[in-house]
Amino acid sequence: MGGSVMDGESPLATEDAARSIGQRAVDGVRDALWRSYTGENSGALILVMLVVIAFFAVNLRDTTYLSTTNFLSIIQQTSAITVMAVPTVFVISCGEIDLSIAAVVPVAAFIAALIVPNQGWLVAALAAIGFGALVGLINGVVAVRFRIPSFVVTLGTLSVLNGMSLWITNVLSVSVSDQTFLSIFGEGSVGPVPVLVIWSFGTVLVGYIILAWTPTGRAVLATGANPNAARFSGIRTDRIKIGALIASGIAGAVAGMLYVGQYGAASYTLGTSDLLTVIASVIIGGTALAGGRGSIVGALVGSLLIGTLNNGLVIIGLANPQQLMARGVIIIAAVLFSSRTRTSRKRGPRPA
Amino acid sequence: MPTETDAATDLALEMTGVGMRFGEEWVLRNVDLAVRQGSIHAIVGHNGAGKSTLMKIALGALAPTEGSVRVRGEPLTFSEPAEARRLGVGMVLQERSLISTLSGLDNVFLNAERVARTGLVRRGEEATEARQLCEQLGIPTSLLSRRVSDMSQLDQELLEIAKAFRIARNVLILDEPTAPLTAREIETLFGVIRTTARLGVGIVLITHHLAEVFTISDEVTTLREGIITLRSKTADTDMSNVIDAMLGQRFIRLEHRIADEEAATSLPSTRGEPPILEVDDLHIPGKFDNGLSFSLYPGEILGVAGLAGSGRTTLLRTLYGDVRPSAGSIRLMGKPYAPKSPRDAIDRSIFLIPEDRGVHGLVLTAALVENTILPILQRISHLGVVQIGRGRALTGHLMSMLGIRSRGPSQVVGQLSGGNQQKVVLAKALASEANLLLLDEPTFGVDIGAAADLIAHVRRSVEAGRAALWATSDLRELLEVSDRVMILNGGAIQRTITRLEPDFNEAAVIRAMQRGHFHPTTLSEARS
Repeated sequence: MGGSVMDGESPLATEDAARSIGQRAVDGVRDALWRSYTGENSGALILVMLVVIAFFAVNLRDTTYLSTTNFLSIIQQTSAITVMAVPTVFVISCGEIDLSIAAVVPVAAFIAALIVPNQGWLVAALAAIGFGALVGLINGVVAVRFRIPSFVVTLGTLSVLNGMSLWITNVLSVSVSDQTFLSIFGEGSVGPVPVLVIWSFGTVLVGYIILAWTPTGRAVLATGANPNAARFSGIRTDRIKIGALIASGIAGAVAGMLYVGQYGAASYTLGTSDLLTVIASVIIGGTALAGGRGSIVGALVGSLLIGTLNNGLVIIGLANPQQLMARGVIIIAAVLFSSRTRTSRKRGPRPA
Repeated sequence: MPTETDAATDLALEMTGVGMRFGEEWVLRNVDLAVRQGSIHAIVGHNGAGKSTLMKIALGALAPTEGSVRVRGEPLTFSEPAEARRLGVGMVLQERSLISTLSGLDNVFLNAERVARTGLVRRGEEATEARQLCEQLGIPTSLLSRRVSDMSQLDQELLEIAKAFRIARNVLILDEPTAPLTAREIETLFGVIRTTARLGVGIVLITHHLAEVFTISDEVTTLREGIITLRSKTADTDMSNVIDAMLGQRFIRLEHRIADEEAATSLPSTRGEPPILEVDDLHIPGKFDNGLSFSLYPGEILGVAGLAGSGRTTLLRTLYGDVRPSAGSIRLMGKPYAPKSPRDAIDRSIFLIPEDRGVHGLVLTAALVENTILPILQRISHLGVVQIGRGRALTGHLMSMLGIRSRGPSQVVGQLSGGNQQKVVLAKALASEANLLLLDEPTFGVDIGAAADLIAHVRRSVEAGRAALWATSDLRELLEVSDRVMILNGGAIQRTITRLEPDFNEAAVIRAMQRGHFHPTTLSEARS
């Protein structure tokens, strides 16, 4: 039935007619600016990253550090993290968390690696993705329907998945020789652009569009900021949460295949240290742990920042223990810096 | 009542010539209030009459512009926040102040723990003291060992009294203590209140339920617009006097702003048009166990009146798909309507303005425009992309229409004043362009001008064939907007008054809102 009873009073109708073309152009520019603002403090973060790069560049000026090859390799090394960070922004923004995301990685990798020889890369990939989606669905439905915090539910699935990955092949790794599979998920390139770079930026682009431009993105942020108000505004908050967790499971599976593509084999060690890296990337990127605020571009920058750090610290010759310590300090410093710029921007006179 | 031997020390609380001014506006003027030790003093008055300001002054939280306050003869100097507390003045707020995960005992001594020199809490000492406290007041001591979350509303209220009484040995203020309670529970509560009074405490009872005034109080004071309009021993007055004093000149029926001559003399419900909403024998567990039936017609604003706990909010939320009825049926535009979520309601062109804007109404951390377009995201999207420019223009339009004071559509809603926040909730509702608006206290905290604008807007949209269900505790507003007023009381529709009836006035609504039926006989029984 809609608003058919009365159309004349519609503020939407009158407002549209009143807008001139010039006004629309102004609106367009403002929208673009505003949307990049929705991307929160990625500007500050990019600054942090440039500082880090400059630091390494000065100290490593005699090495290959400042080469396109090195930077492309950083993007490729972080591709799995970036792919997982994007849906994690959605999950955290809508007020949930998925601790099982990195635990999907080895299981999905095994599924793909075991299916590839007989069924081909497509069936293998679909099976792995289907498995990731199933894990996400279970996480989401249990959390939403039974009102169990997703922290607890996914802590449970995390453990189950860890068990599965050890059990499937009894700790043996499974190598993959299917060239199509390896090329799509690891070694290939489109023209000069490596596929891993495409996977990274493709995921980021899709995530960015959904979060910043579509009704779903708004619904995700509203759900995380105030689930009650979101529900009373007609948002199906349960579906939003389940959807985000399914996307998260799928991303875990894709990340698993990206590792197989890079290493040529599935192993239970894949993704073991990724969970905290993914969450760190997302939080560094300006996504609020409490929900309601998320940034996809920020998550990409966060992921690349951690990748750059690892890369630079390795080239600089720090041993693993020092690397870990330096990384931790720099992560905290990055969040501190970006959150300070955010609060100072929001400060301003309040109307009575 | 204690014998009046020494007038000066006999008074638990004595407020003399108290006036309070905020800016240019006097919210209290020359108020004298004398609460005797051991007596129960009821204070009644409409929202905004100045009751809470007066109580804040008695509690020492606000220093009055003029006048003085004495507690058992000792003057309150308003020099430090805890002063009134030290003099033995305490209050039980309408909102619970208990920590639900702690035991009764822990709550009684919350932030006032008996601590030994070792730094450990003296549980035994606390338990003994609390048990004595409960025994004195006639409260079951078992409450102390139970967890608050496992307690009934009555038990929680009793615990609140025990907690407050530990401090408030002279003056205890109770704000609407009966709101969430059943009739039987209220009897128990009143027993405890009487016992507390008998210990020599002066009790101040703030209530909207006049029946309670005549059941329990010794004295009654009526406030209207900051001025005392009645001060009497309860036994020397009656319900009509109190209602007169609460309303003053407002008894006169308010002029209806309906220009059309025909519309003014006929009702939308009697024009023979099919109803927009038909509610038939709707059962809502815990609120409407006996079924509720009513219809809403095109062009009609149906006012919903009822005291706190009468089920106004529950009824609206049921129609919005947030609460599931246990039986009965609803038809919307002639078709069956059984919403499972607010989404279903919005899809059928219904929108609710919820009463608690911070909880259900707004995303306080998001921008104005984000809030306004939240219910209409699909409608303002093109090819799956939200047309934020359109949203911004629409928000700007609504902002100027409702007079929302802000730095612009991008300002975060949480930074706005309460009244402006409420206007954003209204903007959301207007943006939704729903055929049926459900409004729950829509003008709460909004200035008169904006309230008038809202009324005018809803009235205009209703005249175009829509309808609205308008729940409010502001009777003046209720009578101004409504074609009919439906009064909820005791889990049923107590009465429906149309604006054409001669007694379409506040007094009639108040009578129908009061608990139980008020016949002269019950009144005199209550007073004796």
